[in-house]
Amino acid sequence: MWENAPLYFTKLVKTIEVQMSDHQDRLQRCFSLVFPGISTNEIRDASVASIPDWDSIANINLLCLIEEEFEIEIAAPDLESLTSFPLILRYLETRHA
Amino acid sequence: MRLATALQILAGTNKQLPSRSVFLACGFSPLHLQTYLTAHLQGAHPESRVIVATGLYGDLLGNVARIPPGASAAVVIEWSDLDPRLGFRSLGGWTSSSTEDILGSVSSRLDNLAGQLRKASESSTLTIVLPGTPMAPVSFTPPWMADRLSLGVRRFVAEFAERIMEPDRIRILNSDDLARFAGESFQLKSELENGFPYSLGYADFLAQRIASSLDGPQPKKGLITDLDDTLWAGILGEDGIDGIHWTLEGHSQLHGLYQQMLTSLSESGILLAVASKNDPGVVEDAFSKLTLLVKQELLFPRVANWGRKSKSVKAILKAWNIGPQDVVFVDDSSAELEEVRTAFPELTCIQFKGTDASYFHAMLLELRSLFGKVRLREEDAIRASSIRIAEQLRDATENAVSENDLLAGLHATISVTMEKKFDAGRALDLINKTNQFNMNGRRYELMDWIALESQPGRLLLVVEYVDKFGSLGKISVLSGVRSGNTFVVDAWVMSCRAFARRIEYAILDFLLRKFDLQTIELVYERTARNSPFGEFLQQVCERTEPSPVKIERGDFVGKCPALFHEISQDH
Repeated sequence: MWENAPLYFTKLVKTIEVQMSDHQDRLQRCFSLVFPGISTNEIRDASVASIPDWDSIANINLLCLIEEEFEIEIAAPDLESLTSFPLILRYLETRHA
Repeated sequence: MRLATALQILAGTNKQLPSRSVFLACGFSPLHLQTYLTAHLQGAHPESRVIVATGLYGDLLGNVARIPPGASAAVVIEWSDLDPRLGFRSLGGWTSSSTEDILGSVSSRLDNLAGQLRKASESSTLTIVLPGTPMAPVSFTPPWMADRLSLGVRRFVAEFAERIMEPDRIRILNSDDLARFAGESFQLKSELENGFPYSLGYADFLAQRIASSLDGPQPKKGLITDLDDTLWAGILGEDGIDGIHWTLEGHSQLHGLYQQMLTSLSESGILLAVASKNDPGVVEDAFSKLTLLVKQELLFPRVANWGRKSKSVKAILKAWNIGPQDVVFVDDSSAELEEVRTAFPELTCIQFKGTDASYFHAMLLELRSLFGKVRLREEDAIRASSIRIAEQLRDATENAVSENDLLAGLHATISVTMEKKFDAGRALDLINKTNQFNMNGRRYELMDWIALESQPGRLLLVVEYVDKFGSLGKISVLSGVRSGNTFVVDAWVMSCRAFARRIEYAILDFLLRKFDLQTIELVYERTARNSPFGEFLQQVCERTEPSPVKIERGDFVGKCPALFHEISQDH
């Protein structure tokens, strides 16, 4: 069993990594639909403060897209904290963990 | 459609395209309804960039007043627009004592709204959506029981809708149709957090309906039906006349309902024909003896033979002189449908299933959807008979000594009406749906059409035709601007039912004489389907370019064939 542990662990990490990267790509697609003018690099650091177009309407569109894409429902109290790409990515990873 | 897809459509639209504006007036935050409506309209109009403008949150009445003159607009009403206490964002109290007050407020708001909508409809075409989400549980009654408040409010809304409806200018979406949405239409979380009451699925569904209404339906023109196990239950050739049926007692009511639907379609000007694999003698014998719910003379032509169905369909399309894209074919056999579909990919094929009631119910709705019209016109009643007239004319042509003898013998009268009003009547209808004898294929939005009325020198002629075989109704529309002895025609169409009678020559001849013109300029543009107009131009002036094509009086007189029509003019 112990002999198999590292292999199992490697596979698990790989799965998580694939999932994380998958989450990141899908989230990136959501961002690029709502903010078509910003580059991929900008998206990864995007936040309410750095993107002038990130207003209340864009925020609703973005969160609805995320709900649709990841087939989740974001609870009302969580909405206020989802103010940047890294924060939303972390939230999604926690939800799918 | 997923929200992501709708946003993709919006992001992919070329910003350089000419814009097409639509206004969405609602009291809630338009959000995804705006997105989906833009996407659906954009999909239907790839040649332009669709812009859906909106008004202010919480001000439905003001937003109706903000509809720009000339714009198409959708007005979406929700309960909270009639009284905030009927919605979920207000904490104004759900006490039983508020019933009378709410009813009074709803009635007065609907009166104001009706007034504002009538005003807006003077310069815009409107699509109205009545409240569709669940009303807040204001009343003390259990949910399964109707209560005075909701019954009263719904009665006011129904009366309001009936009062304002005017098919050409104020269309109201059918609440029964909207109720067919499978899923939750209302989303309380979104209503509370974002001020947007609908689920994404319902927003998409509603936007699709609004887009169809704003664009105006383009109904199909003809239906070709099979006979055995379709128009009736049973096989005529095997069971005989006594063995076929379409009644409740015979467990074949679906066939009776189908016949009833065909009669109804015929009343709205839809052409009906039969394509059947049968002995033609047996079929005609059956039609002479049976009393169907659809009158036999409405089914024309009736093509019965043992050949391929696609050949029969081809013959019918030729008799009707319309394209397969405007026709629906109904047959119980999937093999026959496949054979016809392969020969005519643009034709809509529907399978008839006489033993599957729920499928049949959906099929009836599908037929209404394909053939539904916003309003009926005089011409709808005579369309089927004019096809028979055309057939009689073809027979007469074959027997006539010469074309001149034939045309002289028709005793035709052309009535020209100089219309003063540019409205949503037959003239616009004909211009927007004629393809073959259409000078340039231009289509007009109602408001663009109305705007032509104020143009100096602008004339609108509507032409009716009648001969010894009967009336074809209003068959041609021509509009242009006259200046001195020149007339620049920028819209001219003629129904294909009126071909081969030299009516187009008679119209030009009438114009030259009536206005003492020297030149008629035709703003011709070749389209994929207007070759009959191009051929006419070749005959009259031996060219189709450059546009406008000029026809000089002297040249026309030399080229015009003999005319035998009596012309009457009506102001």
